Amino acid sequence: MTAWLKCAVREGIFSRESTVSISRGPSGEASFIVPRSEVKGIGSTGRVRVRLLDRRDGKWAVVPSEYRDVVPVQEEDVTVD
Amino acid sequence: MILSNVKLHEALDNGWLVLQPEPLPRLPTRDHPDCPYQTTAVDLHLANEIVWLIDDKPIQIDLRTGGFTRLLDAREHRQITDDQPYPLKPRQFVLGQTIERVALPVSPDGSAPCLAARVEGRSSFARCGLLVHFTAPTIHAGFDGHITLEMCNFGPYPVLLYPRLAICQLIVERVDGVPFRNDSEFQGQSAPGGGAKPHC
Repeated sequence: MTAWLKCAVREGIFSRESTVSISRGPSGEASFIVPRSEVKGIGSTGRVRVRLLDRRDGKWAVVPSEYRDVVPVQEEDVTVD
Repeated sequence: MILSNVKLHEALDNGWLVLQPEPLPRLPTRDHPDCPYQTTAVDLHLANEIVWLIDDKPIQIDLRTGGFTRLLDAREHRQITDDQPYPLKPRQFVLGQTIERVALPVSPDGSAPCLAARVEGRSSFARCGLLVHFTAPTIHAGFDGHITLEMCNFGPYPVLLYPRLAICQLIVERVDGVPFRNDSEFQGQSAPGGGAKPHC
């Protein structure tokens, strides 16, 4: 299932990229480079398109980075289309 | 095991390797004699954006905490064209990307070969002093994106960087076994349903 995950969005290294910073709760924040086409908004109210995974320990999101990084997410940070 | 050009074509035809746009022609022709396929590699081409870092910022990069984000405050970039290439000066460091999107999909059930790849420079460019990567040349199974090139000129003369230049080569290898994937629904299990996965 695809969804939109709350994140901070700013420019990437290259013009076709964006940098998204995602809260992972107690583990702190992680930043990833993703295609610009996969984000909406800018600044602290941005969102990135993710694929959701339901695992035994809760919900995870697959970020559209080069290596499809995964982050644990909270329900309230996710919007399903 | 390194894939030959014949096996590269097979991998492209079967979707085990994605190069988009696909470098062409697959074989040299009289109209297009420059074939991007060597015996065991395929040329990839430079995209039209060059990024460099300006050095007048009071920045320290802490690699423990997503250090690359600090670079966003110090980057400059420019589009390059056939009329306006980028002159890479001696000892200068810039970033570029490949035109081609490269993908090495991992089949969850191991039914398709697992592939990984390496980026290498071209010897004719290296002789001019051009280095196109200096760390992390491996493109791991599961990668999907444009390859970022860390380019540096160690020669005594500026090197002109043009868009669509055959800037590097990709060497593709077969992976032994099926890797687990962090983005799999079944991460932590050896296979869907818990059984052992077949070997690639």
